[in-house]
Amino acid sequence: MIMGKQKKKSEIIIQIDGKEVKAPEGMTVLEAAQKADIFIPTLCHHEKLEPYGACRICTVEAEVRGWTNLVAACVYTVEENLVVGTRSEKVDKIRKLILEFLLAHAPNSPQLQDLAQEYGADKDRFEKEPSFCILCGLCVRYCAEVKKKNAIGFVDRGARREISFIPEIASKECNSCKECFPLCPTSYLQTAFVLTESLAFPRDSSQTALKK
Amino acid sequence: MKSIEGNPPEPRPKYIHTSVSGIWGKPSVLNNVETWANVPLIINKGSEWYTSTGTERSKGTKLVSLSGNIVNTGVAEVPFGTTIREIVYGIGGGIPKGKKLKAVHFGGPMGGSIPESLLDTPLDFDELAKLGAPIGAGSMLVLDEDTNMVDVSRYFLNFLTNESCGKCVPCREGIKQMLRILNNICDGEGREGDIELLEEISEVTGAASLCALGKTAADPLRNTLRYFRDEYEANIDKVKSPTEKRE
Repeated sequence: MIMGKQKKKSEIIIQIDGKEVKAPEGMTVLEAAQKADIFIPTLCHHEKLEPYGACRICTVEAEVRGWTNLVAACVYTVEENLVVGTRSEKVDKIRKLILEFLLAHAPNSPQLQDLAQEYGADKDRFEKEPSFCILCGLCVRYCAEVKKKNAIGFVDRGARREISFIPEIASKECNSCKECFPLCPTSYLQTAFVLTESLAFPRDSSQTALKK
Repeated sequence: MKSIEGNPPEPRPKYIHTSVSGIWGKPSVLNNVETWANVPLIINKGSEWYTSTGTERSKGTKLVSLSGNIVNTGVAEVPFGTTIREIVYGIGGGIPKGKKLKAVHFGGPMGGSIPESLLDTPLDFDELAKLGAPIGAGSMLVLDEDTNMVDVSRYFLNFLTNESCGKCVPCREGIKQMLRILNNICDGEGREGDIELLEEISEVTGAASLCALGKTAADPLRNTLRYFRDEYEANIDKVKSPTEKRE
């Protein structure tokens, strides 16, 4: 909220799954739905972070002036006469396939398993991938936006994209923080950290052995 | 634009028009150089002069770049409305070694092909878009009868898997899985159901990806499935494809 401006943001009335929902201008469809207790699944969304729009699991149907588009609810902002459908054959088909893509990486992620049950996704549909990471970017963005440390980042692109700790920063910052660990929907983040730590800034192994 | 600002080249997540908020939050106009090159001509000679060339909906001329199995490769400026046949056999000088033409591919890795039977289509944005072959920047890749269209799709997807930034799931994972299936088909390990799976994935990447790259990445695949589905089937059936893969 900008304090200087007295003018209140105007309220917009939209429809989500047939229910009328009031939302201030600039609010995303996802936030409006959450306010009205309507569930839209998310994987890369976090309330403390900027909307990212990467996992696309929150894809919904948005109809404006007779045109229906498939949009990501976490980044699409409300507008006059907007009619949102959070479930449809098309939406479910997209969510199912996205889950199947991700389950090839992290078949044991509880979050993915729950959604897989809802959308009938088959965890064995695609060949298993060597990396557990689903690249939701929660760790990378949390470190950059909330902690402002950038101890972890993305490297490479396309199918070769991965997360990587930056040893110079991670060796100083991570052991006292680790706030990103519980955000990870898989176990990959911890693995990546332990790997970086053991390669780049190993703890004195004799000491850790003695402490135990 | 993100690159100009010094950020990683990833698409902006929000639904904002660049003409409202672009580079450094300022309104920005993003156009091809060719588009800009037309502007002085229109200003100097008037719109009437400019629109006297072309078709009803596509005005003026277009730079096309001819490549592939064609005698004269290079860039040519042609009036809109010229048929593809005139461009290929007139300006382009036809196919080398007297071979037959199989398809003309428009718009590069995110474009589409038209088969020989549609060669009399005029160069026109709408006409070609209807056929699933967008003119795009004007690239025309001419493919002769020896071309395996499954291999063409694979080639483009392989290119795009390196072009994808990897941010959103449908594009990153979808291209990877489609490429895997196409590799199998090309290697003679295609399975029944592969075509249907390709169709399902291409539909989802087309509908749910974050930016235009993901949304159109599967266009050549969808387009070749439209006109050359028999080649996919032939490759899967392990019956020798009418045009055996060239090694």
